[in-house]
Amino acid sequence: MALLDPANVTDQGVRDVRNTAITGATENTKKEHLYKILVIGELGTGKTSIIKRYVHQFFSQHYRATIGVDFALKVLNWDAETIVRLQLWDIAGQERFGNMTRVYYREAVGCIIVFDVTRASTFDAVTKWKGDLDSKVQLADGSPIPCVLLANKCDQAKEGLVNNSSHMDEFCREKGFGGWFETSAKENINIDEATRFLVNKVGII
Amino acid sequence: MADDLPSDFDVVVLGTGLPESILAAALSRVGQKVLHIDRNEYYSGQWASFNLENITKWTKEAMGELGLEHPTIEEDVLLQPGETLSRLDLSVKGKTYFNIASEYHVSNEEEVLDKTDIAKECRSDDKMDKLNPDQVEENKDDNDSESNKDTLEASEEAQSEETKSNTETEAILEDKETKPMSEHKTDETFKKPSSSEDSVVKAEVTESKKPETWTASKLKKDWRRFNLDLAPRLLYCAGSMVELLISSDIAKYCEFRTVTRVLTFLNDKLEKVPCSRADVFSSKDVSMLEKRMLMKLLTFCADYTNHEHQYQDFADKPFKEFLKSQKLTNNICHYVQHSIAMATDTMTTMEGLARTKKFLHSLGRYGNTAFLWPLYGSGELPQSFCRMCAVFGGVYCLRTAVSAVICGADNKCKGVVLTNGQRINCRYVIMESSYADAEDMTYRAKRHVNRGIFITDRSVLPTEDQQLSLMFLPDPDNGVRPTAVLELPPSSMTCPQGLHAVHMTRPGTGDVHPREDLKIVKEKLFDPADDDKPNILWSMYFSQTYYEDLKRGESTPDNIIVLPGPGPEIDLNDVVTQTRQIFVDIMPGEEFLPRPPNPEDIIYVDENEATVGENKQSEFAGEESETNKTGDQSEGVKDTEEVTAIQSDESTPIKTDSTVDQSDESTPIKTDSTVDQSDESSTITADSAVDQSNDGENKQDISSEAGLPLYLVSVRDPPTLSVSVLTPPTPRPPPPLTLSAGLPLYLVSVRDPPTLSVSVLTPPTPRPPPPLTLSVSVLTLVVFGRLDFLCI
Repeated sequence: MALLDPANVTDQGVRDVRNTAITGATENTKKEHLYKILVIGELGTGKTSIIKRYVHQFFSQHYRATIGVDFALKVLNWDAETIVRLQLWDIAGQERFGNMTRVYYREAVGCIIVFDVTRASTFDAVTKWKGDLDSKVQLADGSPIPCVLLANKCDQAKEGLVNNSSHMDEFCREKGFGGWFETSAKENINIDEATRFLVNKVGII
Repeated sequence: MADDLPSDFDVVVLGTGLPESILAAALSRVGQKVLHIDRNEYYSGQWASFNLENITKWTKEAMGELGLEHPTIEEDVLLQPGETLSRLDLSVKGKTYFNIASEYHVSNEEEVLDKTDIAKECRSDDKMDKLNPDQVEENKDDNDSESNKDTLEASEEAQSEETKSNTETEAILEDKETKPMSEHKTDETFKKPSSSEDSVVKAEVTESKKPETWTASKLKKDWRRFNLDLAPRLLYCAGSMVELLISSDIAKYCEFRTVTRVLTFLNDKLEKVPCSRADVFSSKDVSMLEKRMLMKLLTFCADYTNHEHQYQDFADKPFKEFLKSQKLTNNICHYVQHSIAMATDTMTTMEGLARTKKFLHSLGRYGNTAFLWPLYGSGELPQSFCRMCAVFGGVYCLRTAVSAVICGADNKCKGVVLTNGQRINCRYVIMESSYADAEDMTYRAKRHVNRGIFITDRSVLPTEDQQLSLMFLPDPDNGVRPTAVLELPPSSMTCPQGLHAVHMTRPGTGDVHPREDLKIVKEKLFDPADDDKPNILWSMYFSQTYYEDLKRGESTPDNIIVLPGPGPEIDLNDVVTQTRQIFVDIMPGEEFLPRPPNPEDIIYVDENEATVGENKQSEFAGEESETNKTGDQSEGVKDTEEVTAIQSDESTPIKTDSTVDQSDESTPIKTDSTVDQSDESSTITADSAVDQSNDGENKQDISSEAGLPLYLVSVRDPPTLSVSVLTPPTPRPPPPLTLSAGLPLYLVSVRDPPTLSVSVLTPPTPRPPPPLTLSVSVLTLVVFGRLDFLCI
């Protein structure tokens, strides 16, 4: 078991938590993993809704900025031996002008980038977000952290590239996304699947 | 991108340096709407830390123009009747930084004789490790081949970019100094030793001494691993910054390493200064007699206020004279004046004693050291405060500045116009001095500090372990401009394995170039002719302007606040004092950075969707604090705490799941648990929980606005740790700072009455416990009570 080692730093303090998050077996020899997952994307794409749906199983039409909270925690009983604690870091609502602090990125092991299928401009910004992410956080070996793309609000009319799924696949390959999912926080479509997919990418469980 | 920026804020903050960021966080935290902007595309302003590539970029930017321009402002559209516009100067040229020069002192690899060897070395970190046995451990997780490949790729990119723009010499100097610039350009390649004032280290020298040969391209390959600070600062372990980080819970964003030793030159020999009782007793450089003297003096200094008769005759005389009067040896005087008090020759006894006491009281809290160093550089600290500000609703815009300030007829600032042309209404404007116009500032003195940054190939005083060293070297001329030297090893996260980053800070004088000003110290520490001394691989110098006693200009509206940039101090206490005062002035009655609720304790509630959480509601809503289950700590998921629900107006349904629980073992950003455990180790009553959450309720307007109508505050069980045995009557909460692995973690609080069992206190040689290889989160600070030299 690789433990936290200061040498595990690549960028400005990016640490391979993937290997280090294991914080010891309990009496029942249950392994526990702690993953910091970032949720980024343009304003109003449904980041907070996705988190709330995923973590707290509810959805609200009323958009509210996320205030006072660094992250939401979801505990997964991954299998009989494993507990996964996911910290989902919202971009603090207002830190939305593309300028994230290193504090936000540090030690993240996975990322969810969200766009809104009804607004093509939010898809255009995906590349910018991915670029910002990759430039500011990397795994210890210098590789980008696993990232999944969510085409959110898929219960509504779509606009742009997202209508063509083979083009989307191509886009993901090109930009280094592990995969993409059409999601709806409102209808609870694919959120669990997407997250599970990401955790699989992240973890050596 | 900033199109949808709201136009009304309470406060606009210009600059993301430390004082601005602390205020932004504090204001945002109490519900003020904060717009925080910075003209740069990076955070931290004059407090920033950069990797090797970005600091090169910075040297160019800092001297030139940023490219931000005044928008066209249609005054009749933007302004209300009676309002006037006063433009700010957007130029940064020469305002803060001058005398900037950086260069490599090693050749590119092409010139090195045995190319193949070097090539191999570059391609294999494994080999490097073998050559550097003491670093193997640190590197073990880095050894997979993938890593090597990736770093290589990244750096090759960087390198090619570099070579395009210029060769190995970068010298950016003020206009008036164009001559030296051309001088530098001439020795573009380092084929022969340069005759210029800086010694150029020949590759051969390095080769003969060290198995490892550093080249400029090799440094560039590792560009990401550098975090070089423009204004490196330490934290006194018991200083106000540490207290603030803990009380505000911002410590969860930071990590620290201890300064492991204080060094000094004594009779031209570099020595470790015995600062603590343990040091004094284990020191070989100090005679028995001196040991007794030093102990006696330190014991007095730590409690000097109660022994006024001992120093009253000297109170206003120099500390130096006071020390002389104490029948000490020269060595002891030197230690105390220069390394412990870090006092200049003219500093008064009162000040000297106060500084000595501050140092001594910081010992023992986090081990045998008085200082902490923020991992990844002190440029991380402002960002931690920015994150807190953002989490509470602060809006961030980088690469934006204020073009003009709008003043009303009553000489109050009504708002600002951003460089994108947008008008922002606000009640306060807080700006760092370099954003302000000259007439908006009054000050006692405009000074500058000379700084030098060096990358070296070994420590000035190598040991088996990596040492983080602080040196305070007296001014050779007249004793008033000492040089502070900070040597940072790779474990400080500021440089790659095998290297050290050295920072020198000296108050500037006249127009002496920092290169000249730091020359004496540089030559004392690094000497290319001396095989035992480190070689400089890269260096950078600059002078930075700062203001003493900075205040707003006399005609400046009183709702504009001007903050100074970093001065020559090495710690951060002054910044906390200053920002706290400003906060109290503009927000009387509000708490300065109260602790936020733990994210894991907050339950989201959707006020409109009663359906989802309904069935669970009863479980919590009426419940006061009965779920008191002493679960096995390690079974994080099941360990529930006392829970008190505070319900705000609109919320009804509560949906909860196992996310509420916290388990200290698994949270890497650990803080709360530790505090709670020692917090009033007696009992944590439901009252205290309510207090805490009332906090949230006071800010009800924010929280309900925020969609967090309900705060669930959970309180840990009374501490079950073995601590209780040792806990002194009035335990201070041990600071939940995350100390990094590999750190000998000796504890703790210094303030308690000096009553403790002898066994703990008399380790003659406090061998650090084996480096903690566990994840940081596992470290729990245990209160042993007083553990410093004072206890006998």
